[in-house]
Amino acid sequence: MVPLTRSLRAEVAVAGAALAITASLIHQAPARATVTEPFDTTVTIDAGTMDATVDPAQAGANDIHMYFADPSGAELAVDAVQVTAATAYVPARRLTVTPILPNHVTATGASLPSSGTWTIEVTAVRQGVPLVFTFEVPIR
Amino acid sequence: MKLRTVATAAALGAGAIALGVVGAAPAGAHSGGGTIVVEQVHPAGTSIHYIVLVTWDNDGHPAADATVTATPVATDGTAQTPFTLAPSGAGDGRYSGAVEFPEPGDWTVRFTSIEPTGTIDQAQTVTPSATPGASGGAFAAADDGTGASSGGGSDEAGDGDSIPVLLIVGAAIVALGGVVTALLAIRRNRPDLAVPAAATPTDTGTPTAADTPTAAGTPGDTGSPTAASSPGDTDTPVESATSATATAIAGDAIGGAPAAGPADGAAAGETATTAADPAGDAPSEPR
Repeated sequence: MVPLTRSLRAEVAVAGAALAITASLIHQAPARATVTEPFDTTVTIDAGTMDATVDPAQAGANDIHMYFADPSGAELAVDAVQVTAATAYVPARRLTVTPILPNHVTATGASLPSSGTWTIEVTAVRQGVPLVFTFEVPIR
Repeated sequence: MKLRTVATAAALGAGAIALGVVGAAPAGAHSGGGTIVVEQVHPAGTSIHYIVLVTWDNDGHPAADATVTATPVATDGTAQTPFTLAPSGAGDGRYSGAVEFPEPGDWTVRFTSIEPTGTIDQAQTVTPSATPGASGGAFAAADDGTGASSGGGSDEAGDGDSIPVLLIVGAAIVALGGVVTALLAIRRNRPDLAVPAAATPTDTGTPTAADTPTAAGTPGDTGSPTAASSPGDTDTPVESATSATATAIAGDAIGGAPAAGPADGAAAGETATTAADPAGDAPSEPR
Protein backbone atom coordinates (compact mmCIF):
# COMPACT_ATOMS: atom_id res chain seq x y z
CA MET A 1 0.00 0.00 0.00
CA VAL A 2 2.77 2.36 0.82
CA PRO A 3 4.56 1.89 -2.52
CA LEU A 4 1.34 2.61 -4.37
CA THR A 5 0.80 5.83 -2.46
CA ARG A 6 4.34 6.90 -3.13
CA SER A 7 3.98 6.12 -6.82
CA LEU A 8 0.75 8.06 -7.05
CA ARG A 9 2.30 11.05 -5.39
CA ALA A 10 5.20 11.01 -7.81
CA GLU A 11 2.87 10.71 -10.74
CA VAL A 12 0.75 13.60 -9.56
CA ALA A 13 3.88 15.70 -9.09
CA VAL A 14 5.05 14.95 -12.61
CA ALA A 15 1.62 15.70 -14.02
CA GLY A 16 1.53 19.00 -12.16
CA ALA A 17 4.94 19.96 -13.47
CA ALA A 18 3.94 19.14 -17.02
CA LEU A 19 0.78 21.19 -16.64
CA ALA A 20 2.71 24.16 -15.27
CA ILE A 21 5.24 24.07 -18.08
CA THR A 22 2.53 23.80 -20.69
CA ALA A 23 0.64 26.69 -19.14
CA SER A 24 3.72 28.87 -19.25
CA LEU A 25 4.38 28.05 -22.90
CA ILE A 26 1.00 29.15 -24.17
CA HIS A 27 2.09 32.77 -23.83
CA GLN A 28 5.18 32.27 -25.96
CA ALA A 29 4.98 33.16 -29.64
CA PRO A 30 5.64 30.27 -31.99
CA ALA A 31 9.25 30.04 -33.06
CA ARG A 32 8.34 30.57 -36.69
CA ALA A 33 6.67 33.86 -35.84
CA THR A 34 9.61 35.17 -33.88
CA VAL A 35 12.14 34.65 -36.65
CA THR A 36 13.01 37.95 -38.29
CA GLU A 37 13.95 37.39 -41.90
CA PRO A 38 14.60 40.35 -44.14
CA PHE A 39 12.70 40.73 -47.37
CA ASP A 40 14.79 40.80 -50.53
CA THR A 41 13.69 41.64 -54.03
CA THR A 42 15.11 42.71 -57.37
CA VAL A 43 13.34 45.15 -59.65
CA THR A 44 14.40 45.33 -63.28
CA ILE A 45 13.64 48.12 -65.70
CA ASP A 46 15.15 48.99 -69.06
CA ALA A 47 17.79 51.27 -67.59
CA GLY A 48 18.97 48.86 -64.91
CA THR A 49 18.11 46.89 -61.83
CA MET A 50 17.63 47.62 -58.18
CA ASP A 51 18.18 45.16 -55.35
CA ALA A 52 16.20 46.07 -52.26
CA THR A 53 16.30 44.64 -48.77
CA VAL A 54 13.73 45.42 -46.12
CA ASP A 55 14.85 44.39 -42.65
CA PRO A 56 13.17 42.98 -40.60
CA ALA A 57 10.02 43.30 -42.73
CA GLN A 58 7.88 43.55 -39.65
CA ALA A 59 5.49 46.24 -38.54
CA GLY A 60 7.49 49.08 -37.07
CA ALA A 61 10.86 50.50 -37.94
CA ASN A 62 12.59 48.90 -40.90
CA ASP A 63 15.90 49.47 -42.63
CA ILE A 64 15.61 49.55 -46.40
CA HIS A 65 18.76 49.15 -48.46
CA MET A 66 18.73 49.81 -52.19
CA TYR A 67 21.52 48.92 -54.60
CA PHE A 68 21.51 50.03 -58.23
CA ALA A 69 23.13 48.32 -61.20
CA ASP A 70 23.12 48.87 -64.91
CA PRO A 71 21.76 46.23 -67.32
CA SER A 72 25.19 44.57 -67.45
CA GLY A 73 25.25 44.20 -63.68
CA ALA A 74 27.87 46.85 -63.04
CA GLU A 75 27.34 49.35 -60.27
CA LEU A 76 25.15 52.23 -61.36
CA ALA A 77 25.92 55.58 -59.74
CA VAL A 78 22.81 57.64 -59.08
CA ASP A 79 22.74 61.29 -58.13
CA ALA A 80 19.59 61.45 -56.03
CA VAL A 81 17.04 58.99 -54.71
CA GLN A 82 13.57 59.55 -53.36
CA VAL A 83 11.55 56.78 -51.70
CA THR A 84 7.87 56.69 -50.82
CA ALA A 85 5.89 54.03 -48.98
CA ALA A 86 2.14 53.45 -49.12
CA THR A 87 -0.51 50.87 -48.40
CA ALA A 88 -4.12 50.61 -49.46
CA TYR A 89 -5.04 52.60 -46.37
CA VAL A 90 -2.01 54.86 -45.97
CA PRO A 91 -1.26 57.40 -48.70
CA ALA A 92 2.25 57.56 -50.06
CA ARG A 93 4.66 59.37 -47.81
CA ARG A 94 8.29 60.08 -48.29
CA LEU A 95 11.02 58.23 -46.42
CA THR A 96 14.30 59.82 -45.40
CA VAL A 97 17.07 58.51 -47.62
CA THR A 98 20.78 58.57 -46.89
CA PRO A 99 23.34 58.04 -49.65
CA ILE A 100 25.93 55.46 -48.64
CA LEU A 101 27.71 54.89 -51.92
CA PRO A 102 27.12 56.18 -55.43
CA ASN A 103 25.05 53.04 -56.06
CA HIS A 104 23.75 52.40 -52.54
CA VAL A 105 21.26 54.31 -50.43
CA THR A 106 19.41 53.45 -47.25
CA ALA A 107 16.22 54.45 -45.53
CA THR A 108 17.13 53.72 -41.94
CA GLY A 109 14.36 53.27 -39.41
CA ALA A 110 11.65 53.66 -42.03
CA SER A 111 8.30 53.43 -40.29
CA LEU A 112 6.02 50.78 -41.77
CA PRO A 113 3.64 50.72 -38.85
CA SER A 114 1.04 48.16 -39.92
CA SER A 115 1.19 44.67 -41.26
CA GLY A 116 0.10 44.03 -44.81
CA THR A 117 1.43 44.75 -48.25
CA TRP A 118 3.32 48.01 -48.63
CA THR A 119 4.16 49.56 -51.98
CA ILE A 120 7.61 51.11 -52.12
CA GLU A 121 8.35 53.47 -54.99
CA VAL A 122 11.96 54.42 -55.58
CA THR A 123 12.83 57.30 -57.88
CA ALA A 124 16.53 57.49 -58.71
CA VAL A 125 17.88 60.29 -60.86
CA ARG A 126 21.02 59.68 -62.86
CA GLN A 127 22.43 62.56 -64.87
CA GLY A 128 19.04 64.20 -64.92
CA VAL A 129 17.14 61.10 -66.02
CA PRO A 130 14.69 59.65 -63.50
CA LEU A 131 14.51 55.89 -63.04
CA VAL A 132 11.46 54.61 -61.21
CA PHE A 133 11.48 51.25 -59.42
CA THR A 134 8.41 49.93 -57.65
CA PHE A 135 8.02 46.86 -55.49
CA GLU A 136 5.70 45.48 -52.88
CA VAL A 137 6.86 44.18 -49.55
CA PRO A 138 4.78 42.03 -47.22
CA ILE A 139 5.09 43.34 -43.69
CA ARG A 140 4.36 40.81 -40.95
CA MET B 1 -34.53 82.21 -84.96
CA LYS B 2 -31.73 84.59 -84.57
CA LEU B 3 -32.21 84.58 -80.81
CA ARG B 4 -32.01 80.79 -80.77
CA THR B 5 -28.76 80.85 -82.71
CA VAL B 6 -27.23 83.32 -80.28
CA ALA B 7 -28.34 81.24 -77.31
CA THR B 8 -26.85 78.11 -78.79
CA ALA B 9 -23.57 79.85 -79.50
CA ALA B 10 -23.47 81.21 -75.96
CA ALA B 11 -24.12 77.76 -74.51
CA LEU B 12 -21.40 76.24 -76.61
CA GLY B 13 -19.00 79.01 -75.61
CA ALA B 14 -19.78 78.52 -71.92
CA GLY B 15 -19.27 74.80 -72.29
CA ALA B 16 -15.92 75.31 -73.97
CA ILE B 17 -14.80 77.68 -71.22
CA ALA B 18 -15.91 75.21 -68.56
CA LEU B 19 -14.04 72.38 -70.24
CA GLY B 20 -10.97 74.57 -70.45
CA VAL B 21 -11.12 75.40 -66.78
CA VAL B 22 -11.62 71.77 -65.83
CA GLY B 23 -8.77 70.65 -68.01
CA ALA B 24 -6.38 73.23 -66.69
CA ALA B 25 -4.16 72.49 -63.77
CA PRO B 26 -5.16 73.98 -60.42
CA ALA B 27 -3.48 77.24 -59.59
CA GLY B 28 -1.47 75.69 -56.77
CA ALA B 29 -0.44 72.50 -58.55
CA HIS B 30 3.16 71.91 -59.54
CA SER B 31 4.35 69.51 -62.14
CA GLY B 32 7.11 68.97 -64.61
CA GLY B 33 10.72 69.80 -64.15
CA GLY B 34 12.59 72.26 -62.07
CA THR B 35 15.44 74.69 -62.26
CA ILE B 36 18.40 74.75 -59.90
CA VAL B 37 20.39 77.92 -59.38
CA VAL B 38 23.59 77.92 -57.31
CA GLU B 39 23.32 81.09 -55.27
CA GLN B 40 26.29 80.94 -52.92
CA VAL B 41 29.55 79.03 -52.74
CA HIS B 42 31.70 79.13 -49.61
CA PRO B 43 34.99 77.34 -50.13
CA ALA B 44 36.92 76.20 -47.09
CA GLY B 45 39.63 73.87 -48.20
CA THR B 46 38.29 70.61 -49.49
CA SER B 47 34.93 71.30 -47.89
CA ILE B 48 32.72 73.66 -49.84
CA HIS B 49 29.37 74.89 -48.66
CA TYR B 50 26.67 75.54 -51.25
CA ILE B 51 23.33 77.27 -51.16
CA VAL B 52 21.05 76.54 -54.10
CA LEU B 53 17.57 77.67 -55.09
CA VAL B 54 15.15 75.20 -56.67
CA THR B 55 12.05 76.41 -58.50
CA TRP B 56 9.30 74.80 -60.53
CA ASP B 57 9.54 75.35 -64.24
CA ASN B 58 5.79 75.64 -64.80
CA ASP B 59 5.19 78.61 -62.55
CA GLY B 60 8.54 79.63 -61.10
CA HIS B 61 7.43 78.94 -57.56
CA PRO B 62 10.09 77.79 -55.11
CA ALA B 63 10.20 74.03 -54.60
CA ALA B 64 9.90 73.71 -50.86
CA ASP B 65 9.66 69.93 -50.65
CA ALA B 66 12.30 68.72 -53.06
CA THR B 67 15.04 66.17 -52.58
CA VAL B 68 18.28 67.94 -53.45
CA THR B 69 21.76 66.47 -53.63
CA ALA B 70 25.22 67.54 -54.73
CA THR B 71 27.52 64.96 -56.28
CA PRO B 72 31.24 65.57 -56.81
CA VAL B 73 32.29 64.22 -60.18
CA ALA B 74 35.97 63.78 -61.02
CA THR B 75 37.46 64.84 -64.30
CA ASP B 76 37.38 61.23 -65.49
CA GLY B 77 33.65 61.13 -64.88
CA THR B 78 33.76 59.08 -61.69
CA ALA B 79 30.95 60.14 -59.40
CA GLN B 80 31.45 60.24 -55.65
CA THR B 81 28.78 59.56 -53.07
CA PRO B 82 26.16 62.32 -53.24
CA PHE B 83 25.67 64.77 -50.39
CA THR B 84 22.15 65.65 -49.39
CA LEU B 85 21.40 69.36 -49.15
CA ALA B 86 19.02 70.32 -46.37
CA PRO B 87 16.12 72.72 -46.86
CA SER B 88 16.44 76.12 -45.26
CA GLY B 89 13.27 75.56 -43.32
CA ALA B 90 11.71 78.77 -44.56
CA GLY B 91 9.98 77.09 -47.48
CA ASP B 92 11.73 79.41 -49.89
CA GLY B 93 13.15 76.68 -52.09
CA ARG B 94 16.67 77.12 -50.78
CA TYR B 95 18.80 74.17 -49.84
CA SER B 96 22.28 74.14 -48.39
CA GLY B 97 25.01 71.80 -47.30
CA ALA B 98 28.72 71.14 -47.30
CA VAL B 99 30.31 68.94 -49.91
CA GLU B 100 33.54 67.17 -49.01
CA PHE B 101 35.91 66.65 -51.92
CA PRO B 102 38.35 63.77 -51.63
CA GLU B 103 41.26 65.88 -52.82
CA PRO B 104 42.05 69.29 -54.30
CA GLY B 105 41.80 69.72 -58.03
CA ASP B 106 39.27 70.34 -60.72
CA TRP B 107 35.87 68.85 -60.07
CA THR B 108 32.36 69.08 -61.37
CA VAL B 109 29.52 69.33 -58.88
CA ARG B 110 26.28 67.91 -60.17
CA PHE B 111 23.27 69.31 -58.34
CA THR B 112 20.18 67.15 -58.68
CA SER B 113 16.64 67.61 -57.46
CA ILE B 114 13.59 65.38 -57.37
CA GLU B 115 10.11 66.91 -57.23
CA PRO B 116 10.84 68.81 -59.32
CA THR B 117 13.34 66.83 -61.34
CA GLY B 118 16.25 68.93 -62.39
CA THR B 119 20.00 68.87 -62.65
CA ILE B 120 22.83 71.30 -63.19
CA ASP B 121 26.57 70.82 -63.43
CA GLN B 122 28.96 73.39 -62.06
CA ALA B 123 32.72 73.37 -62.39
CA GLN B 124 34.56 73.67 -59.11
CA THR B 125 38.25 74.13 -58.46
CA VAL B 126 39.12 72.79 -55.05
CA THR B 127 42.21 74.24 -53.43
CA PRO B 128 43.89 73.06 -50.28
CA SER B 129 43.20 75.13 -47.22
CA ALA B 130 45.60 78.03 -46.59
CA THR B 131 45.70 77.51 -42.85
CA PRO B 132 47.78 74.53 -41.77
CA GLY B 133 45.33 73.64 -39.04
CA ALA B 134 42.56 73.20 -41.54
CA SER B 135 44.61 71.29 -44.06
CA GLY B 136 42.91 68.06 -43.21
CA GLY B 137 39.51 69.52 -43.75
CA ALA B 138 38.54 68.83 -40.19
CA PHE B 139 37.80 72.45 -39.37
CA ALA B 140 36.76 73.57 -42.78
CA ALA B 141 33.12 73.58 -41.92
CA ALA B 142 33.80 75.71 -38.85
CA ASP B 143 35.64 78.22 -41.03
CA ASP B 144 32.74 78.03 -43.37
CA GLY B 145 30.44 79.20 -40.67
CA THR B 146 27.85 76.53 -41.29
CA GLY B 147 28.62 74.90 -37.98
CA ALA B 148 27.42 71.57 -39.27
CA SER B 149 30.68 69.74 -38.91
CA SER B 150 32.19 71.97 -36.28
CA GLY B 151 29.35 71.18 -33.91
CA GLY B 152 29.96 67.49 -34.27
CA GLY B 153 33.65 67.98 -33.81
CA SER B 154 33.23 69.93 -30.63
CA ASP B 155 30.80 67.39 -29.32
CA GLU B 156 33.29 64.65 -29.96
CA ALA B 157 35.98 66.63 -28.25
CA GLY B 158 33.66 67.23 -25.34
CA ASP B 159 32.97 63.55 -25.04
CA GLY B 160 36.66 62.88 -25.17
CA ASP B 161 37.25 65.24 -22.26
CA SER B 162 34.45 63.92 -20.13
CA ILE B 163 35.45 60.27 -20.35
CA PRO B 164 38.87 60.68 -18.72
CA VAL B 165 37.32 62.66 -15.87
CA LEU B 166 34.87 59.88 -15.24
CA LEU B 167 37.65 57.34 -15.40
CA ILE B 168 39.71 59.29 -12.88
CA VAL B 169 36.79 59.60 -10.49
CA GLY B 170 35.95 55.94 -10.88
CA ALA B 171 39.54 54.87 -10.34
CA ALA B 172 39.78 57.04 -7.25
CA ILE B 173 36.61 55.53 -5.80
CA VAL B 174 37.84 52.01 -6.49
CA ALA B 175 41.24 52.77 -4.97
CA LEU B 176 39.66 54.33 -1.90
CA GLY B 177 37.35 51.37 -1.49
CA GLY B 178 40.28 49.03 -1.77
CA VAL B 179 42.19 50.89 0.93
CA VAL B 180 39.22 50.87 3.30
CA THR B 181 38.54 47.22 2.63
CA ALA B 182 42.16 46.32 3.22
CA LEU B 183 42.23 48.21 6.49
CA LEU B 184 39.04 46.57 7.70
CA ALA B 185 40.33 43.15 6.70
CA ILE B 186 43.57 43.74 8.52
CA ARG B 187 41.83 44.85 11.67
CA ARG B 188 39.46 41.92 11.53
CA ASN B 189 42.15 39.34 10.99
CA ARG B 190 44.57 40.83 13.50
CA PRO B 191 42.69 40.95 16.80
CA ASP B 192 45.92 41.76 18.53
CA LEU B 193 45.88 45.14 16.86
CA ALA B 194 42.63 45.94 18.53
CA VAL B 195 43.85 45.20 22.03
CA PRO B 196 45.04 48.40 23.63
CA ALA B 197 46.63 46.48 26.50
CA ALA B 198 49.34 45.33 24.18
CA ALA B 199 50.81 48.79 24.28
CA THR B 200 53.64 48.92 26.73
CA PRO B 201 56.12 51.61 27.54
CA THR B 202 58.84 49.17 26.68
CA ASP B 203 57.90 49.32 23.02
CA THR B 204 60.92 50.83 21.41
CA GLY B 205 59.78 50.67 17.88
CA THR B 206 61.84 47.68 17.06
CA PRO B 207 60.83 45.64 14.03
CA THR B 208 58.02 43.88 15.82
CA ALA B 209 55.11 44.57 13.65
CA ALA B 210 52.39 43.96 16.14
CA ASP B 211 53.73 46.49 18.57
CA THR B 212 54.07 49.34 16.23
CA PRO B 213 50.42 50.32 15.79
CA THR B 214 49.73 50.22 19.47
CA ALA B 215 52.59 52.55 20.09
CA ALA B 216 50.37 55.27 18.72
CA GLY B 217 48.10 54.64 21.66
CA THR B 218 44.85 54.77 19.72
CA PRO B 219 43.53 51.37 18.84
CA GLY B 220 41.23 52.66 16.20
CA ASP B 221 43.95 54.58 14.48
CA THR B 222 45.97 51.66 13.36
CA GLY B 223 46.14 52.66 9.78
CA SER B 224 48.39 55.68 9.92
CA PRO B 225 50.87 54.46 12.47
CA THR B 226 51.13 51.18 10.69
CA ALA B 227 51.87 52.87 7.45
CA ALA B 228 54.65 54.77 9.15
CA SER B 229 55.91 51.80 11.12
CA SER B 230 58.94 49.69 10.69
CA PRO B 231 59.62 47.47 7.70
CA GLY B 232 58.86 44.43 9.76
CA ASP B 233 55.27 45.36 10.18
CA THR B 234 53.16 43.07 8.14
CA ASP B 235 50.61 45.81 7.64
CA THR B 236 52.99 47.99 5.82
CA PRO B 237 53.34 46.00 2.63
CA VAL B 238 49.61 45.75 2.28
CA GLU B 239 49.06 49.44 2.69
CA SER B 240 52.04 50.31 0.66
CA ALA B 241 50.87 48.13 -2.12
CA THR B 242 47.44 49.67 -1.97
CA SER B 243 48.84 53.14 -1.89
CA ALA B 244 51.14 52.30 -4.71
CA THR B 245 48.22 51.02 -6.69
CA ALA B 246 46.22 54.11 -5.97
CA THR B 247 49.14 56.26 -6.88
CA ALA B 248 49.67 54.35 -10.03
CA ILE B 249 46.05 54.74 -11.01
CA ALA B 250 46.06 58.40 -10.14
CA GLY B 251 49.31 58.78 -11.95
CA ASP B 252 47.88 57.13 -14.98
CA ALA B 253 44.87 59.32 -14.79
CA ILE B 254 46.82 62.47 -14.25
CA GLY B 255 49.37 61.47 -16.76
CA GLY B 256 46.63 60.60 -19.14
CA ALA B 257 44.98 63.96 -18.87
CA PRO B 258 47.63 66.02 -20.59
CA ALA B 259 48.14 63.28 -23.06
CA ALA B 260 44.45 63.35 -23.74
CA GLY B 261 44.65 66.97 -24.75
CA PRO B 262 46.59 66.54 -27.95
CA ALA B 263 45.02 63.17 -28.43
CA ASP B 264 41.62 64.74 -28.21
CA GLY B 265 42.63 67.32 -30.67
CA ALA B 266 43.65 64.64 -33.05
CA ALA B 267 40.53 62.73 -32.25
CA ALA B 268 38.41 65.74 -33.00
CA GLY B 269 40.14 66.12 -36.29
CA GLU B 270 39.71 62.51 -37.07
CA THR B 271 36.14 62.62 -36.02
CA ALA B 272 35.41 65.53 -38.24
CA THR B 273 37.11 63.72 -41.03
CA THR B 274 35.22 60.58 -40.24
CA ALA B 275 32.00 62.50 -40.19
CA ALA B 276 32.56 63.18 -43.81
CA ASP B 277 33.67 59.67 -44.43
CA PRO B 278 30.33 58.14 -45.21
CA ALA B 279 31.16 59.53 -48.57
CA GLY B 280 34.90 59.26 -48.39
CA ASP B 281 34.94 55.74 -47.09
CA ALA B 282 32.80 54.60 -49.84
CA PRO B 283 35.18 51.91 -51.09
CA SER B 284 35.10 50.21 -47.68
CA GLU B 285 31.41 49.52 -47.91
CA PRO B 286 30.94 45.78 -48.06
CA ARG B 287 28.62 45.98 -50.97
